[in-house]
Amino acid sequence: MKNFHPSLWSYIKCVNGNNLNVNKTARSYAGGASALFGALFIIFLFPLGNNAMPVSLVFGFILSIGLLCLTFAIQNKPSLYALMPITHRRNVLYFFITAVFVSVASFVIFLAAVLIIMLIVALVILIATREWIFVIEETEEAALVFVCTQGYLIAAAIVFAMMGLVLIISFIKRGKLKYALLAMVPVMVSLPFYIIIALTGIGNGNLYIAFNEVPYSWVYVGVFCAIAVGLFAAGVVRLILYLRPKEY
Amino acid sequence: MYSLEIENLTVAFERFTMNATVNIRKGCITGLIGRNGAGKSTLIKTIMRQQDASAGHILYDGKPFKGNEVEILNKIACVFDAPHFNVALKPKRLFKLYKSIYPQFDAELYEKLMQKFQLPSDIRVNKFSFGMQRKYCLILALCQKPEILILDEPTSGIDPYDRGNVVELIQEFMMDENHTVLFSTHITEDLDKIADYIVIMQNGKITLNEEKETICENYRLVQCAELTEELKKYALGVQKSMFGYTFLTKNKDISGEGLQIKVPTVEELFIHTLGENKQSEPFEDL
Repeated sequence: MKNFHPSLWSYIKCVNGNNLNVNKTARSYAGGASALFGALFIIFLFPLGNNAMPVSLVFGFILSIGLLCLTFAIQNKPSLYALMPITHRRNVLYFFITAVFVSVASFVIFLAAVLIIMLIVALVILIATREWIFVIEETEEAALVFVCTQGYLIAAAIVFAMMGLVLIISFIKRGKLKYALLAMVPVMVSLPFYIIIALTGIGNGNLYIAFNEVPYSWVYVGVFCAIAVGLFAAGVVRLILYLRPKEY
Repeated sequence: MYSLEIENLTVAFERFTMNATVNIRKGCITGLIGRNGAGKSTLIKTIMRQQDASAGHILYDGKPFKGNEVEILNKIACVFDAPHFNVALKPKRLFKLYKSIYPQFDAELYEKLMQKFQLPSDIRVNKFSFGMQRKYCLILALCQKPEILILDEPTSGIDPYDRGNVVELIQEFMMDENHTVLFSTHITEDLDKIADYIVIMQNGKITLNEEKETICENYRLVQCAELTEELKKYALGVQKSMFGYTFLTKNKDISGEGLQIKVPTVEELFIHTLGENKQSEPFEDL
């Protein structure tokens, strides 16, 4: 590592710094990436059980990394990482590793936010609707699982909606409508999924069970994975083009 | 010998197109002036590869960027119009970061300059005033030990005392004859003190690139109460004020009753060629 120049950690700090402080578009993308990843994780973790978990994790990361690459490739402000005296190949490699790092970090932050809101929501539900839960659930343990599941979902939905909204509004405010539309695609895809879950859940009286009964669940997984792969490819290609020495 | 050879460099935006051809001489300070939106920052960003050009080319010390990017990025440093690093970091952390990025980063000079400008190391850069940020950007650029230093309005927002220090620093940097400075500013007083060459940009084009001494030798600023037909023949960039008329002229032998003649400063040159009150032909015709 000592022979590496600049050190990878410096590069991560520098790129991540630009991400958080210099460029607002980049920040929006990073927020969007983590939100989308979080949404993927949450949507597919429960409904499809153990099978969907690795899929959602892998494709969630792919999506997130792709968006981050896209982020820095489209930014229009001078940035330290693009001025580093290193070769084009190394710059792309460093950036890619940094994007992985930032993606994981964003996910952890997202998950922490979800868990905090989940605890609050679960507590409120537990206090407010204790009697109603016992009507649905036979045992206290089952009621607790139900409450936690509901709390987790509601919390995830709130965080996802908030982050998605911030992302979309920030793009619209800057007049970048095509990016706003791009950001809306996963939201639009996930929205009917949530509605179906909610309707089925209300019909059954149990959201946890309802997940497994959602029709065409794997179609949604497929759509998300396709979006993830598409954005990943677009991001990486754009990054390589952005960081390559220009012809002039 | 040129540090930067820029030929037909074209950057096209929706409402503005820059098309610049200019050579920046090695060992000289070149002042870049122009009105807001003339394309100065665009030119600087394009030189620093932060803005794509659709046509033209740049040679850095006679070499193209492609294939020489590591060497070129090691010998060129820039103070942009806004910090291009993470301003949420404290200077002590940025110092470590820069040291790891630039192999020749001068830690001793960094400490010296931080003390000279009385900048704290333990306060985040985004908490600095605008002037302090400008000074800090300049310190980081100088400590990279570049050969080519590009400055986009480095003295704006800096108090007169420290502005003098900044100008002094640039002069110290130029003690090495291999060093080159391209200096964009609206404070033309600084250029009067240190510039060797003056480049004027107008609507995305270079309209003047001349040695300051030559400009001083070739042009005169004339003040008069009345602009006679005879004077109009020599008058360039006529400005009217409540006290009469001022204009530039290439006729060094101009004389007459009530005429006040002097060598123009860079600011006067700038105002008379680009000012709102312009009444004669554009500067490219000079």
